[in-house]
Amino acid sequence: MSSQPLAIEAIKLSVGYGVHTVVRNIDMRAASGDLVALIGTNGSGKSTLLKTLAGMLSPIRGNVNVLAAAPGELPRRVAYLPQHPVSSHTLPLRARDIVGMGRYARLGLFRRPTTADHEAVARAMQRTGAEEFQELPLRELSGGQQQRTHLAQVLAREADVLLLDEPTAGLDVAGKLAVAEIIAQERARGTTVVVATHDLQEAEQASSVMLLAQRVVAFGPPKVALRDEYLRECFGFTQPH
Amino acid sequence: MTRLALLEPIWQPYADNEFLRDALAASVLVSLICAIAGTYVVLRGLSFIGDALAHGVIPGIAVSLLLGVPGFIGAIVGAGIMMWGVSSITSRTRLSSDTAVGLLFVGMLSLGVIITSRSATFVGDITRILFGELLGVNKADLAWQVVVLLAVAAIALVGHRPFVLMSLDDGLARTSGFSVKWFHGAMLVMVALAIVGSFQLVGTLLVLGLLIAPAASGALVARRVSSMMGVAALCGVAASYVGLLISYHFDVSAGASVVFTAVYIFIMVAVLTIPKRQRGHHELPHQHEHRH
Amino acid sequence: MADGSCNPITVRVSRFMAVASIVALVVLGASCSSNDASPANETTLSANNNAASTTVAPVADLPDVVVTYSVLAALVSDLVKGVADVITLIPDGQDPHTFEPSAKDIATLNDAALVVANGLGLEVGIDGALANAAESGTEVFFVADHVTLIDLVDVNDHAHHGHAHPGADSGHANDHEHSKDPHVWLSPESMREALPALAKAAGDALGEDLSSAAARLDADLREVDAELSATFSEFENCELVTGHNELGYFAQQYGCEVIAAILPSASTSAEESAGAVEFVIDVVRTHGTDVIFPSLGSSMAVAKRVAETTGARIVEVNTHYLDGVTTYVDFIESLGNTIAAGLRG
Repeated sequence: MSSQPLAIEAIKLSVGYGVHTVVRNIDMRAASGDLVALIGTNGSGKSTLLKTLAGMLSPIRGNVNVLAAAPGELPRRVAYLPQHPVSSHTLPLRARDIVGMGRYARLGLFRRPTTADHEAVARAMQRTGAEEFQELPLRELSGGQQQRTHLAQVLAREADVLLLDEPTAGLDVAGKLAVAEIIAQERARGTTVVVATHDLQEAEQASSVMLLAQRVVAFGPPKVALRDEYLRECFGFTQPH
Repeated sequence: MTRLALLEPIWQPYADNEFLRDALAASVLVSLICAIAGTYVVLRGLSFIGDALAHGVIPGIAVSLLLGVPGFIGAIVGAGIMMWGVSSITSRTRLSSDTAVGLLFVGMLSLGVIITSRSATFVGDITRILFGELLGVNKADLAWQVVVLLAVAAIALVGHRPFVLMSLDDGLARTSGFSVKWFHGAMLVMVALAIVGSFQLVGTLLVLGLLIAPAASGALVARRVSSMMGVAALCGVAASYVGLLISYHFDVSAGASVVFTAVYIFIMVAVLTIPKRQRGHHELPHQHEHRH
Repeated sequence: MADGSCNPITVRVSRFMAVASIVALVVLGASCSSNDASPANETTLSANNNAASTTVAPVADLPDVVVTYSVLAALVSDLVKGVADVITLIPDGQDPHTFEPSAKDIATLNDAALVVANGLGLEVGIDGALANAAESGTEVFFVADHVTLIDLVDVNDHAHHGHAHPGADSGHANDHEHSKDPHVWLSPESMREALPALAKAAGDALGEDLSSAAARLDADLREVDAELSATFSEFENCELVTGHNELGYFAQQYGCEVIAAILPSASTSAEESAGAVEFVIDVVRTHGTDVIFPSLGSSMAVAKRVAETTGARIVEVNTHYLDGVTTYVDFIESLGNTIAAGLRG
């Protein structure tokens, strides 16, 4: 157990939309450098929990702190990557401008970008391989390229907490490996990462795994949480041995 | 000398007629206003709301004329009611915003028709509301339009970053620290201003054309917001100049000619950029997605 | 993006919606009640709502004569006073060119003993309803059927006036059929022409002898016609610039010429063209006209622009509604005097 304050702490947290609760009684802890994998089918509450941690949904009950503040209070330090960002197929904006938008949280409404900002953008594009198509408009990119652009945008924010909703969607095996590598790099820097995913192999690399099925089926280190009986509850099947 | 004479039909009507020059000035101002507001509308996919606002202001205008008050005040109130209505329906029910917009749009429009059809004190000006009075513009109108242009530009200056983030995803804007509620509202206000500032010229039926067509042309050829706006402004100005010339030479309705030209320009741009876009798609399967 | 709603906001919103809908209903009510197409009252409403109504005390079983617009209704009232209730379909102040009937209007049409309409596409929105009423046995009388009609000319036709105007094909002249000008009520002589047929139709439909009422009306029309002829004889050159192309019959009767119209069509559901505006300015300048007569249905803003550019005055005329007068004679007299006063300066 680290003696540092917890990056993410949730106590008896219920999340949902308005009056409709999706998951009750979540207890979660994550320290700096941890990777928490949220596993579950669609509709299980993964995205709802992520959005609550990001500050987009109000908690229905219970307590949650991100970096010792209420969710959404620290946009400079907490970055969120949504599932399937919406208008990618029609936007004429270039990939590198999209990545550049990741710096807006720090720049606010009016401040001009500095060299430091441009360098952060360049680094982020390099890490996801987005630099090779940076001049292309978003709508001319394939699904995988768009995903890498959005990931680069999140990385450009240089946040301390990353909340990623299915970051490997649309990527092939090499792409998924690249993302795993990026997550490892972030963790090494002390970033706390929470990932919603379908991929059980990704979950095995995590510090803790939470299985969701509109309730918390299990939460703990992968060896514990990914046991057959929990997987069965979650998915109706188990991992091949 | 004869070559110049051939070009005369292109500039002489403007040189000879002050009312035409003023109409051009007003139309250019409207084009600038709509280039700014329209760019964000197209980026964010708000065209339907733009359309709804354009028609939803009709009852507001009708009521204010009934009360003897200038039409644009009623338009502002009507726009405000529409926007408030949309946001309360979407936040209180499970309906999506385009359902809410559609409902309110039709509701306000039919209310407008009811009011104007039955009132004896409403002295038959519905045609003016629908089609505008581009050729009746005077210097005071131009001054108001400059005010609207400054207001729209101010909103765009302040809201640019959140607007652009919201055209990707509202969640991105929110988690970057911008209040989606406020900036969405600001965008609607900007659109409403553009409509209120333009409807007296081209009428509520057509104002959407000026809002969307030039910006859509910009979206086809530009890759940055600033160049999108520039192209939109250019298309709008061109549509104004050519449209008024058409109205002059062919003796046809002025406002409709301008809007038709704007849409025509868009169609030309779309046709001319097709090969380029298809080319882009064909190349992709050959690109490598793997990082080594 | 849904965020958790707070109850206080929900309550506030629903209260506001309730208030807003009440306000909306009040406004609707006000606008509806200011329209008086109610049966059993022959009324006319001015734009300022100073109802100067000559009411016939409603008697329970007087038959209804439905007339489409107010000016015509005033004429018909003089004819059938005392033996029928006259109901005006198009609210005074509404543009007959763009009026659409409601379900109630159609019922009123079907229940009438007699329907009097202008015809020739003036009340284009009611044409269908009128045809249906006729088919189901209601007697429908079209005034335009009993009047010597004049052709609808393009008053901005330039070969005619010798003005160069780009876009005009000066060779077209009279080699095709023209449609007819529907504004027949703007000449008392035309109304006199239709009167015998109207009196007969009304007499038959109502089962009454209207010959004395018709004779009186005929005399009144003759008188006002003579008056106006005298007034206009003082003008050597009576040239009229109008809003839309409406004063054809008036001009013909009193020796005037309509030299230009801002909206050269006979209908008002159109928008001005730059070519037409330039033509009007040109004509006003070359003819030395110093007055323009716009009316309901064309853009006042455009008329003002033309006036500013040429230095002409604007004198607004009421050609399609009564605006405070109650009889047809008063209406046409007032119109004539307004135009004459405008011409005199």
